[in-house]
Formats: sequence, structure tokens, C-alpha cells
Amino acid sequence: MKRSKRFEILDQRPVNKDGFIDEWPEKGFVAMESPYDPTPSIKVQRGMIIEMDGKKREDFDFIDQFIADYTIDIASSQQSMSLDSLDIARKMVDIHVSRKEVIDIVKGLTPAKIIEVVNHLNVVEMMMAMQKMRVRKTPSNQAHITNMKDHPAQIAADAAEGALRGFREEETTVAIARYAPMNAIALLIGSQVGKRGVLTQCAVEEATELALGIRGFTTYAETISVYGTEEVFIDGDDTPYSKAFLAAAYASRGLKMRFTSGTGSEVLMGNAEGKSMLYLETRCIMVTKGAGVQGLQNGSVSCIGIAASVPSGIRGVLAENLIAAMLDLEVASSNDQTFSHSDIRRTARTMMQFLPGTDFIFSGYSGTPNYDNVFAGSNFDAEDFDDYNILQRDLMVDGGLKPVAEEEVIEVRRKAAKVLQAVFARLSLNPITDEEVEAAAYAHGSKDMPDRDVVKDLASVDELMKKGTSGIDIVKALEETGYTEVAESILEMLKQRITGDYLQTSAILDEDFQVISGINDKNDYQGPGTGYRVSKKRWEEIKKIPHTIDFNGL
Amino acid sequence: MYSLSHNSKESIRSKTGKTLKDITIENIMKGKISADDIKISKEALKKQGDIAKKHGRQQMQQNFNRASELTEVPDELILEIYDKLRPYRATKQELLEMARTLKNQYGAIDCGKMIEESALVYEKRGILKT
Repeated sequence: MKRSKRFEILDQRPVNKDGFIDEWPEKGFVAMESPYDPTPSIKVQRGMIIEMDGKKREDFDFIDQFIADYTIDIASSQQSMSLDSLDIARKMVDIHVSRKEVIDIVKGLTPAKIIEVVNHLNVVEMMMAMQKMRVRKTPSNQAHITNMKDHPAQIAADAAEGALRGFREEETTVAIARYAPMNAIALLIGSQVGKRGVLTQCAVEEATELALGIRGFTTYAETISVYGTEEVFIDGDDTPYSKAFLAAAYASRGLKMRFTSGTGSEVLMGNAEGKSMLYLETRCIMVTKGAGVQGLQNGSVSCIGIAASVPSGIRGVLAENLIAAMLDLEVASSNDQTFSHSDIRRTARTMMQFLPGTDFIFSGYSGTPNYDNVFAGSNFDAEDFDDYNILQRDLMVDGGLKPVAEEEVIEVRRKAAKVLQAVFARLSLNPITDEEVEAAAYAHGSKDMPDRDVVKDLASVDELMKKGTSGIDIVKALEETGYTEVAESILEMLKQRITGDYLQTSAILDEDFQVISGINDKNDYQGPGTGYRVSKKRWEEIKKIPHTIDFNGL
Repeated sequence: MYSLSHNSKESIRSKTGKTLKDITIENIMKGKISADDIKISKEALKKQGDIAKKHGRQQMQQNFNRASELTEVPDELILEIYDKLRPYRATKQELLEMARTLKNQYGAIDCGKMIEESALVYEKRGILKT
């Protein structure tokens, strides 16, 4: 065939480098509606669920049983299940129906019934529903702060810049596993230098993550994965019961935490039992709810490549965020992995959460260049800060960030690296040189940073762990080196775990360490004039982009 | 009642009985504050549980109840129990023994119950250690 010039050009477009696959339900390659998804049903006998979605109790796997025993509100379930799915779907977008009314219905539904409800909604309706159903009235944002060298000065500087730009949670992880404590400390200190009250976490293996939290090197946790089929859950080396126990363990140390799940993980791990991705994800969300965890990071997360490859997959991602909100959970709504070569496509994917607002629109937005993102890139990176700020300005939407001045960023980056340098010296960690501090102040990414002596870094951090160094020692080191203000901030962060206020659903802290959560900042959206509105002060922040035409020059 | 840091500033105590006012940089420098002093108390968790329930979050209250029981359990034991609850790590007897320890030694009734239940579920699903 002689090729059409038009088609030749189209074939070269970035979007055609993305991977697409037709629906293949037997292998789970189907976003929201598989012919093998069960039909909703429930039978209760003597206060116990004896049949759910067509399966008898004796045939329950451990996920079914956990959901039946812990998640579904048995008292209201028969009433809720008797409602027509379409009617429930309509209530979700009806501004005359309150959030609470919907929550009270959904708590009695089975997984199959929930997806039947959501399948009635198109994406705009889902966004309308999300606007009402998300827990916290004020939307927020989370950043990834990592780099290929695990360079502590860069982590501190990027954390400080990220905090200044508006992120209220920051998450790091490691290129080399043993760096975890060092990265956690760098993030903890850098974030508070940038802006007070930012929560920080270090995503590593479950037991290590808990240990770092107990030490006081992190202030919350997120990477507690749950899965939608029994076999994959077992492959993930956990069960709903082990995860529920872990949830209680975190709370027992006063630490905020959320679970993680996402569509596509069961397909990726090779056992989807022929169910739709959304059905399996709904089971994950319900395990989270049953464990009494306040929130969930979901939205396909690291499996976005799978969800994005099938028809209606990106709609399915929004659907899973929405289901978490319907179940009254905090939602950190992903947008956190590179999945497309197309700028148009990646922007469209993010608009689903950006426009209605979620508790955390990204989980997270890469506060570093894409190459430094050890979580495998993010959907938006440091290079996209101005695009993001302008999207906020164009649409008068609060996406949680704000434009910042270059000199202010350099200053705060330098300070973060300097403070960390002082703490490292005090705690006998492998020193940070003046040259590294200066590099961190001006760096875009780790290519602009000197190399570290990895062996020395790791030896010094192992020593620190052996000595039993804790968050209190960091406060002490900061005070001893003259950084009293930062010492006070870290101490305030540690004190959060005594009151436990930030264990409540969707909690973040403001710059005065006051908690803003689903209890004292309840989403009350019920149509125009209600819910979250961009305040005058916030609008002034959003509008102030650096490159505008100077009237005087015209 | 919420937030406790706002409304119960004076009465709230850490696990070791310290008030928020006691936990200052000055006291840290004097060596009067240890890592244990910044752990949450049973009572604070119970209060947060009541708040959660009042806002319709029953399961969260149950989680906070289990958490309040675990405030007494040492870090190492918590990590050990978590590990045993993973698939194929423990026999039924080991799980039941752990539940007994939690109940009898630490008064962790709800946690014990959940682990007993897990022993039955793991047996049914064939994920006990053999």
C-alpha cells in the first residue's frame, strides 16, 4: 500500500509510542466491566454475611471474608443493597443529596454493587461526584523527593523547594536500600526548612518503614500495599489480617498512615481471576476500610501502564479514586508515574483529579527532574512546575501549588543543605562539603551534584542506626548547631504523635502545625456557593506567575 | 472535642505521662525527654477513636482500639507478630499462642481476637506454616 502522508505523520506522534491492548477479560485486561464480574447480592443470617456477590461464605477467600466481617455495615446492608444502582449513581451527582447521605448508603454495599453504581457515571459525572465525595474540603498535593545518587543535600534542597511551592506531604524512597534512614532524615529536615508542618515519609519495605516511623525519622507512612486477589496478596507476602495488624501498629505509635493499591496490579502480577481491574480494586479499597485505616493511595499508581492500555482505563482510574472517597477514605490520587509519551494524554489523565480536587491530587508530583525520580518518574515533574501553575491560573483551580521566586528558591535550597550539613556533622554522618551545599542550592538534578562516597555514607548511617539515634537526637543536634527554629519545627512534628489528631481521616497540618482534616475541614459541597472555593488570598498567590507582560513596556 | 491539641492541651499526656508543655527543647537539652516520651497514650487513642466513631467511622475506632492495646507492646514484639501474620510464617498453634500472649500479658483483647480469627482463616485457606 502506498502510504498516506497524513498517516505517516500520525504514526510518528508521541501517543503512538504508548502501548495499547484490546480488552481480554480472561486475563483481566478490562477496566471496569468484565463479563466475569459477579452479580451483586447479599445474604445475612444472625448478624453475619453468609453470601456476598453470589459466593457462599464457605467459599470465601480471605479477602471476601475480611470484607464481609469488617467492612460492610451489616445493619444497613440489606436496605442499601435493595436500592437501584442507577438511583445511587444519581444521588452521587445530585447537589441536593448530601455527602453524608451517600456515605451512609455506600457503607452497606458489596464490591459488585459498588462498581455497578460507578459504571453508570461518565467521567464528568465522576468528577462532579468526586467534588462532593472527597473527605477534606481543602484539596492538597504531595511530592516525590528522590534522586539517583541518594544525595542527601539534594534531597534536603528539593524537599525545601517543594515545601515552598506548596506540597503538604513529601515522599522519598531509595536507589540503594540501605540509604533509607539517611534519605528520611534529609527529607524531614529539608521539608521543615522550606515550610513548616509538611508531613514526610520514606517508602521502603513494610517492616523497615514502620521502624523508621517509630524512630521519628518520618511523620507518616503510605506504602502499605493491599491487593485484590488472594493469590496476588500472598505473592505480596501479606494478608488483610497482617495489614490490619500493621495499621494498628502504626496508630499505636501515633503515626499517620494510609494503604496503597491500584488497578492493574493483579494483572501485572499475573493473577486477576478474569475480573475487571475496578472490581479487584474495589476489594482493595474495602480491605482498607475494614482495617480501619484512614486513607488510601490509589489510582493505578505504579501499574498505570496497564490501566492506560485498555479502553476506558483512565476513566477506571478516576472511578477507583471516587470509590475510595465514597467509602469515606482519604484519597491520595496517584498521577505519580510516567505512563505516556504524549503531553496531551498525560495532562488529560491528571485533569480527572485536578479539576474536582482530591485530598492529594498527586501522590506524588515529582519535585525533581524525571530522571531523578526513583519511583519510575511521575506524570508531572519539576520541569512542569510552570505548566502546572498556569493550569491553576487558567482555570482558577487550586491544585495545591504556587509560583515562587527564583532567588527565594535558591536561598531556601541553600539553607536546607546547610542545616543538613550541620546535623550530619553533629550526628557523625559522612560529612556534606561546602561544595555540595552550593551545588544543591543551584542544582536541577543529581547530574548537577558531586558524587558521594557511597561506602562511607552507608557505613555512617549503619552506625547511626546501631546507636539508636532517634528524632529527639535530631532536634538536639539542630539546637546545638544553632538552628533553633528548625529544631522547634521538628519537635512540633514529633509532638503530633502524642495527640493523634492527625490520625483522623485526611489530616494535613498548616504552617502553624494545626491539623486540617475531615473532622474540622469537612467537605460540605452541595452545588454552587458551597464547598471549597479559591479564597482571595489564594487566588493572588495562584495568579502571580513569573513571566507576564509588563504593562509599562507596552 | 477535636482537635485534642487545641481543646485538651493541658490534659493530654504522652505514653509516659508527659504533657505537651513538658516536651520542650530545653527539657530535651537537659536530657529529660527520651524517645518514649513522644509516644501516644492509650487514652489519647481511645479519645481519637470516640471522635472517629462520632463521625461515622466505626472501623477506624476499632483500629484505634487495637492500637491502644498495642501501646503497651514493645516495638520488637510488634514487628515479630507482624512477620508471623504473613502467609506461611506460623502454624495455627503459634498464632494462637501469640494471641494468648497478647491477651494475657498485655490485655490486648481485640488484637488477640483478630489473630485467633486469622488462625482460622489461614487454616481454611491453607496458608499456615507446614
